[in-house]
Amino acid sequence: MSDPTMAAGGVATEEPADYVTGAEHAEGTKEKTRSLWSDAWHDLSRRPLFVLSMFVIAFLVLVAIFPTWFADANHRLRDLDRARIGPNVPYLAVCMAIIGSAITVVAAILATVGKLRDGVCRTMAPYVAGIGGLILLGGGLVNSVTLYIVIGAVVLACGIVSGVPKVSQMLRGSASTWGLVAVLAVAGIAGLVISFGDLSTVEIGAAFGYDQQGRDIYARVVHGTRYTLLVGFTATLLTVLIGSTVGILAGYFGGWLDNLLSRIGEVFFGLPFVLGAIIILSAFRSAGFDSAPAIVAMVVLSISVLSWPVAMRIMRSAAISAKQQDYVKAARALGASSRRIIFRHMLPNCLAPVLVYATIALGAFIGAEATLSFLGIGLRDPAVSWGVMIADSRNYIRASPLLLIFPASFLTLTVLVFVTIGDAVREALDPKLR
Amino acid sequence: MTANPTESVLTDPTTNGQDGPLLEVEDLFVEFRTRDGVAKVLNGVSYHVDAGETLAVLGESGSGKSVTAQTIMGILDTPPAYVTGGSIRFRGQELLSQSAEKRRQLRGDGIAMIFQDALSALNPVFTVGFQIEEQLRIRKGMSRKEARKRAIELLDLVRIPNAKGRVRQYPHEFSGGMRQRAMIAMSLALDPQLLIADEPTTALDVTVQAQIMDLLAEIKAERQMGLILITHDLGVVAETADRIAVMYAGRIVEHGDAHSVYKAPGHPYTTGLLNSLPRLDLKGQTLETIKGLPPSLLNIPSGCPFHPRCPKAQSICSAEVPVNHDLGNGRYSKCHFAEEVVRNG
Ligand SMILES: Nc1ncnc2c1ncn2[C@@H]1O[C@H](COP(=O)(O)OP(=O)(O)O)[C@@H](O)[C@H]1O
Ligand code: SF4
Ligand SMILES: [Mg+2]
Repeated sequence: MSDPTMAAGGVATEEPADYVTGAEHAEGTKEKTRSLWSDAWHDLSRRPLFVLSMFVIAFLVLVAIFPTWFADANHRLRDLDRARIGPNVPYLAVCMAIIGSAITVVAAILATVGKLRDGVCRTMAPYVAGIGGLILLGGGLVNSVTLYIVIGAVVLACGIVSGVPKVSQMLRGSASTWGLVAVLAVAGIAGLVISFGDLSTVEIGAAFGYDQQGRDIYARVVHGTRYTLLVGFTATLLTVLIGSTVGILAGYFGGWLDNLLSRIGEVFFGLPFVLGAIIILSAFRSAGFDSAPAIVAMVVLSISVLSWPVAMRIMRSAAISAKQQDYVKAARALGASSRRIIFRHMLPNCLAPVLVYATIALGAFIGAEATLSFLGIGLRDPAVSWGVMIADSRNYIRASPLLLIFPASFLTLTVLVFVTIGDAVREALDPKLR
Repeated sequence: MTANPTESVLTDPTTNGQDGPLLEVEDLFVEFRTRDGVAKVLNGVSYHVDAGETLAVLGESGSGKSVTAQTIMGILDTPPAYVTGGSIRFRGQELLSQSAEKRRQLRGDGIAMIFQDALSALNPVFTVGFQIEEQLRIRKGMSRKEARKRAIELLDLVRIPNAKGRVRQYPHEFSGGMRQRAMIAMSLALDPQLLIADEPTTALDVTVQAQIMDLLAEIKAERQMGLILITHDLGVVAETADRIAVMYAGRIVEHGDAHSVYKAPGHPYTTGLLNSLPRLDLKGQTLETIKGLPPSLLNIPSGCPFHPRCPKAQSICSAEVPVNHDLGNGRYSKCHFAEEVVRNG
């Protein structure tokens, strides 16, 4: 027969010792490195709705931490003489006008920044102008102030027109952006001047009126933010923590442990949420937990205990697919310990789907807290939340619908904002979920 | 423990010097217990590697090459995989009876492994440098700074240009060939004495394949490492292998030094593999392929497992399991007609 080394192995000797192509050299000098997370963040920071939602959340968190900065009235003070007095409409209108005008000024600044440096500021400006215009318009409508209505309508129109994709493209980098900036700036500053002028003509305080026990609704909405967000955030954190830990252990170890943990998860998953929560909460209620932290802890616990199987399933399937990846095998082949493989190598790769779930769950849990509170088994005095306020209003829905409408609009807005964030995060991470 | 003592003669006595081989696999049986039944994946695999030597393990995909490697590493999942017999000795020490913790300590440090697809074998969320440094910090107790320095040295060693900059990059920023180099650097971090390369070049294009093979051969020679090169591509091993073990249906059907196996195969399956390869020395040939499919491991044919596909099969082949025929010079073949096949091709 023939020389064995000739069997198609000859290629190796013909190849020059140059091991790397020119393109690879060029690539190697690139300064910035990208990871999955920085890629996703890069993508997210360009979505105007996401950025806007994050600002809203940041504001709500600020309100939750320092409620007294935003409301100086005592939210616990009852005065039955003023029970169910309606909103202080003139004051409310002026406040809305001030806020709307300030937001309009911000929109003008964003448009200016967007003109100088193309980016998310440019795409955000129409949204911000729209919101400012709506609030101004609303302020004008509640008290029939023609000036506010006119300014609000102009700003809203600017926001809508400049937000139309074709117009937005046309305005991009063009000098006509300065026209938009001018209109917004003039409208915003005029609004501010006028509304601050009007401030001295109105009686200050109780913008949202008083509830059935004569408590300042505005102050209660502001102070309720704290408990609403506290329940939402801690319930999400606890759910994700329990669910991920159980899920990743079940997914990694498999076998009987997986079977056991999955069955336990199914038991909790099988319980209808509201029924399960009623049982847990009424059991604890009769045990007499009456301080605000204890009440919050019970509500958080019951939400998490009933929801962790969802997070567990997501984490478990992510862990099973991560475990079959070669990099886990490679880590084992290099002698990494199980603990290190699970928490160092698998966890970061399994985080994306759980994170998406968490952001959406946050909105859902805030809603769940309201539901439980409405049913009378969630938060209660001394803890105040929007859900508690909605529950308190239930007997007066016909007579004083505003008792319901104020807390309900804040609740809806907050849930909406979290769901928007959840959607954006999912889209940013999805193509890489594999 | 050895299920079939008559088959354990593969160990070549000439390489069994005063220290014995670096790694010795003897009569290894592994089965996968699945819902469809018990797949007998390894049915008495025996081979050995010495320090500074390359053993090529050949065979069609599904013949059990990777499972053997993963059994040696101890990274098979039980369930579904069960080692039902045999022995694996590394530097004379039996691995199969060792504690899980002891075996873990040996991984990376004594025996390391590189995988076919480096993109999926590198963790996408960490930089290449981090993945090399991690082992150095945990297993060798190096500081971050020392580990970084060593990682750059290792990347330099596998000829990654601009190692200083590359060390901070993520695997997806590397090209295919460079990823495989990075994988090699990672496996060398703890200075293993044995490296198992499971189809290290299959995912790469031909020129890059050759570069990676050269690199492996060079590093092996420099460090006097044992190298097990798993492949289903005969062309890849022609230059690098010292010895060849041909695998079929979970057993080694032919074993011998690379030169003589190429020149005169002793098993019709090896002949088939060689004929399915384009050879530069035979112009105008027609390429032959081995007819039929590899056997189902749930139901391995009686007698010689190759008989349904073998052009030389006789009636004895379906009735009797061929024993290992000693062909001299450390050559063995599990074919009833081994001597005849060597003589007449
Ligand atoms: N996790 C598993 N479960 C069931 N069967 C498996 C598993 N892993 C491998 N096998 C079987 O083992 C046999 C050998 O596989 P492998 O060692 O990967 O072959 P190769 O020689 O291509 O590396 C294949 O037939 C495959 O079906
Ligand atoms: S034993 Fe028979 S069937 Fe098996 S390889 Fe030899 S000739 Fe072919
Ligand atoms: Mg394989």
